Amino acid sequence: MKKFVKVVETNEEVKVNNNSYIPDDFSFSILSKLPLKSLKRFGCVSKSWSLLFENPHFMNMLRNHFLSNNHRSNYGVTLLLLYDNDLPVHYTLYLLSDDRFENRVKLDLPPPIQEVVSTLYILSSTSINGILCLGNLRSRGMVSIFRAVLWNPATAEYMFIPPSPDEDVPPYRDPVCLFDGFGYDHVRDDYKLIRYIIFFDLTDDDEDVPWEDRSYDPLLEIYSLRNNSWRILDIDMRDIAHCAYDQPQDGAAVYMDGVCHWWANNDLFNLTGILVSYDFSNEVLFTTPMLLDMVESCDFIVNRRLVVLNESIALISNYSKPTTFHISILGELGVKESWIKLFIVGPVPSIKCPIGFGKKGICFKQNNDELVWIDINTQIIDEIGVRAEGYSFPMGIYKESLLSIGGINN
Amino acid sequence: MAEEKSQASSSKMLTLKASDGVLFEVELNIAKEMKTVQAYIDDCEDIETIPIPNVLGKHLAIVIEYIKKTNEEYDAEFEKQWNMDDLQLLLLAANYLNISGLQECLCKAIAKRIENKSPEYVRKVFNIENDHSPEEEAKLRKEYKWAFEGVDKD
Repeated sequence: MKKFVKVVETNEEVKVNNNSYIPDDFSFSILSKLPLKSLKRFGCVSKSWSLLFENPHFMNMLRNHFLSNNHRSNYGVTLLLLYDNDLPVHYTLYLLSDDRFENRVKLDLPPPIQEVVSTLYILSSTSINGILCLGNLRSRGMVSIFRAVLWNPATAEYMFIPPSPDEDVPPYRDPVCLFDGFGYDHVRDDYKLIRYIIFFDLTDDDEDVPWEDRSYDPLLEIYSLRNNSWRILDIDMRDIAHCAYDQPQDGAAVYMDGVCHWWANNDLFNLTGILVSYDFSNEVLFTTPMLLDMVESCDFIVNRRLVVLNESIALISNYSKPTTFHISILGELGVKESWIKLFIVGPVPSIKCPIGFGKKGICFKQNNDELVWIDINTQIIDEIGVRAEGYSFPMGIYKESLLSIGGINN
Repeated sequence: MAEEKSQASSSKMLTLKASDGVLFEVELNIAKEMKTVQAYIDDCEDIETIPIPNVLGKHLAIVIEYIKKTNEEYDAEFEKQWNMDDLQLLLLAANYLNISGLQECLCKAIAKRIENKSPEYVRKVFNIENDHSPEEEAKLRKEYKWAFEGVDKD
């Protein structure tokens, strides 16, 4: 019996047949719950299925499922770090259990961090087995001193990570961290930090150290909680050395399934870029380039940001003139052809940058620092009544656990 | 207003207002688990916000979490029990009986079952004939080669 899946959903009668089959009405409902990889494979099923991504009704269902599935109740709660310029300047960390900001709950930072006024951020924007890693940058003259603390909010246990001996500044060089991340090595059951440091020559250099003895080589270093120590990774970094990265304090790193990811722009106009990934268990750094046809050549790209959405890596590209945001999902890690555009938000001239995803929409920060929700179906902007001054920290995820940090670090 | 599709109504939202003014937006099928709320809806059909005067926001949050968790855990267990033929027949039954929560659960279960399958398998499930020409299909398979890795054997 010939049967075509109708592209337009109608309220038709279901014909009961000898063979049980899926009624047409449910095809889209089932398909919208599939991963993008499956959907692309099933384009071979029939002509109309190969056109699913051009079907507006189907795409609406797919987008809505992506967002609602991203907020399954076992996923964790939303974490939001806000910086307030009002004196005394301070950071406040909030938990949001649904999209309602008015129900936000303040989470007390660990005591030594509570009064911090210098740059504070959450590495990888996520908790791992209930543990958060907070990063703090303090200025000392021309140099930024980094320190990190591992923290379990549920037990209030915290532990400062010892500073890296290799980042220590000999007088002739100035370290700058291009990217960092917090992750979990499931093979060794270990919690780790990764930092990529480059060095600049300090102009008022120290004459005592001859040029031959100086090193300005960038370094990639890993901290292991089990060993409570840092070590340098011997990895070829040529692919990633000459790229531009968002600052770590902008929440540039994302973490998923044992791998940290960062976006590296490798031209001045942000047109092309590379996804840089580090697998904590296999200790492998790998890159996935971007296809050039993802670029609409006349548009001016302000910025690109990575997020984790519905257990996939997503790239948010901020185009200007007019201000729009294109969100593409990576169908398969490592496969550059698998970037699939899923959302377009805009034009939205009042918007500065994305903050996070809710059940039905995307949270953005406006040019005036006010946070808003934009509904992905209607594109209606809804003011939240909360300001996010300073850095545009992305929303993070926190899932509670009573894991002891000290229990791992023996 | 046009009649909502049965699977769409399972995601209709309702607002519950706790005694301390805290608002919760919940899916209708979650709210209906609370018989009190169901009764309220029965009395006033078009209501959008339902007051819950005896429960603090803090407690209502916990109740809602519990209901959600029950649904998801149950759904996850439910889908494991049935083979594909049963799932298809159950979906037909749920459609006829108009049980939207069950329809949604079955759609998720079927999606999970076919996720890693080949196009040939899926055609049988949906009873669809392949109207691609061999050239068209070959072109698609080549273009989306990455999507064919790790596919279950039929």
